[in-house]
Amino acid sequence: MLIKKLFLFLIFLLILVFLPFVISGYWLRVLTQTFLFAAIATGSNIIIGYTGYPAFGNIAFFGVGAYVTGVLMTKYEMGFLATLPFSALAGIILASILGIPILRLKGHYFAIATVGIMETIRELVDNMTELTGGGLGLTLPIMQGEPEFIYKYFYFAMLICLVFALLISFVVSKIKLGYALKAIRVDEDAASVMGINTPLYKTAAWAVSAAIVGVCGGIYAYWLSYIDPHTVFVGTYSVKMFAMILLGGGTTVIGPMLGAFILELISEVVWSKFIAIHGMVLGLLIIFIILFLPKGLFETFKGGFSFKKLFSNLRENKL
Amino acid sequence: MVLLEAKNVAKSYGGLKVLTDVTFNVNKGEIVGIIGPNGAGKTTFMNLVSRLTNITGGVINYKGQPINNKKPHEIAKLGIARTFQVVKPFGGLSVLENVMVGAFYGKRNVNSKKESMEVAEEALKVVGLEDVRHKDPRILPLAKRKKLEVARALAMGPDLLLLDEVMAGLGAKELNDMMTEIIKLKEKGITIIAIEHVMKAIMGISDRIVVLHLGKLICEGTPQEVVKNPAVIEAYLGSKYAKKE
Repeated sequence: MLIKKLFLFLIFLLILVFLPFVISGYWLRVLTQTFLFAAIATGSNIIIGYTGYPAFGNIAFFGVGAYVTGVLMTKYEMGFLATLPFSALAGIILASILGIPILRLKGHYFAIATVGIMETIRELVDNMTELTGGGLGLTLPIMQGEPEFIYKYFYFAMLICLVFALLISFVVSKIKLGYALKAIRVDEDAASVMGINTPLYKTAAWAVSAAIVGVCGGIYAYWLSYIDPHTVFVGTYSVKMFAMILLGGGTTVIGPMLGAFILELISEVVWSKFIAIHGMVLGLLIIFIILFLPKGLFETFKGGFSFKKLFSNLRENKL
Repeated sequence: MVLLEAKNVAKSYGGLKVLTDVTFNVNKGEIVGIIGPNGAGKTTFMNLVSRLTNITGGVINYKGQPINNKKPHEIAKLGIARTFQVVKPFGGLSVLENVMVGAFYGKRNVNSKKESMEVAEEALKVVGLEDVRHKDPRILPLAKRKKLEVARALAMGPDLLLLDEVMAGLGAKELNDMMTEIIKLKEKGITIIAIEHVMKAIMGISDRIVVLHLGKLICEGTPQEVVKNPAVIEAYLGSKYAKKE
């Protein structure tokens, strides 16, 4: 079964590798952005889906990663690729420090606290003008080369980032740590009396998640070549990330990626055709997911598609 | 040899005293039953041993060492495993994987997946759940979910097993099976503290019984001694019946 899934994934990956040579620059950009969100959702899923901690403000690490890359490239003239481990490290350090007090909270209290963290970091970045450029933003060195090469460079950078995120997520789900996280998600008390050091494992999960999201931020910063606090600490990115995890299913490795592909491509089509109602369509889609697919596509349609399952989900929601 | 020692144990929530001055020992290799009407403080006592709640007064010693300040995961590593009254299997993990969690993180602290699988298979065999090892535990009937709780605890490699109403809600045959299994565990050298409302079961398996009522220990002795105790009869049936006895 696992070999069959792996084979299908490799075919999918092979198609994505050859795709840039046959599609236009516009679709390259759309897919690059899709990979970005898929990687963010996959990384965030380790704390949100596996561990059951709704880190709504996980985009904070995206912003931090973006600024670490930005500052290291502009102030310390480091190469782009050399900055990415630092973006990951910044996420790990921040999540480890914040995890100790914040991960004592549960459910919506934790979600709100993470949003608070994101807002606090954004304010800090906004006011550290010397280092970050503050509200004026930070202009990163522009990549040299033909536009077509640059498009493909970031396409592959994001794709590699996504593959790494999936690989990490897969490994986490299969090792001892993954079992602890899944136990914590269902019943933290039961997990702790079974010998799981829940504060440690929750923090580890958040740190891994933050590292992946941080790297995404680093790549994004260089791709955009200009960042300011309002382009990287974005609340709507959190909403999108959450909707992607919900749509695909947070208990699976590829669920968030599937959710990202569906939602991002729908969003792009709606944006290009009906720009005035783009936000509304996204909002309606999220409401639909929560009402009809709270367990995600994978969990809901394990045995095949049926409308009955959609409506039974609605009933279970007690609406 | 005394394995667990409760000395003047007290627990209160604000002004509400849930346990007051509870003192008793559990010897290695015995089954001690804790009985008492609802609200007597039985589960609270288990929560104090497994450190899910903080002790307000007194001390609990395990293997001669105080465990008042230990964390729940440290208690598990010392060899104390427990089940819960409200069965909550880890959804998203199969029956086998649920039990593997116990092997991974309990006293055994197994690191390899293969070894944890072997330990889990063994624990499932003990409780007779090997046929449903790959099933989603959420779809199992109550009796099997209770057995799963026991298997999870067994996989941890416990010296002391705390069973919180594992026999409640079971049919006659399932009840007999569970009683036989618990006695077998004792024969393997596992010390057991069992909370139970099913009198036939607790009287049948326990070496000693501790009776709690309104947070106080009102009687301690063999099952035969306990059933004749007027204070116990009064707590369970009321003073009218106690006088008749």
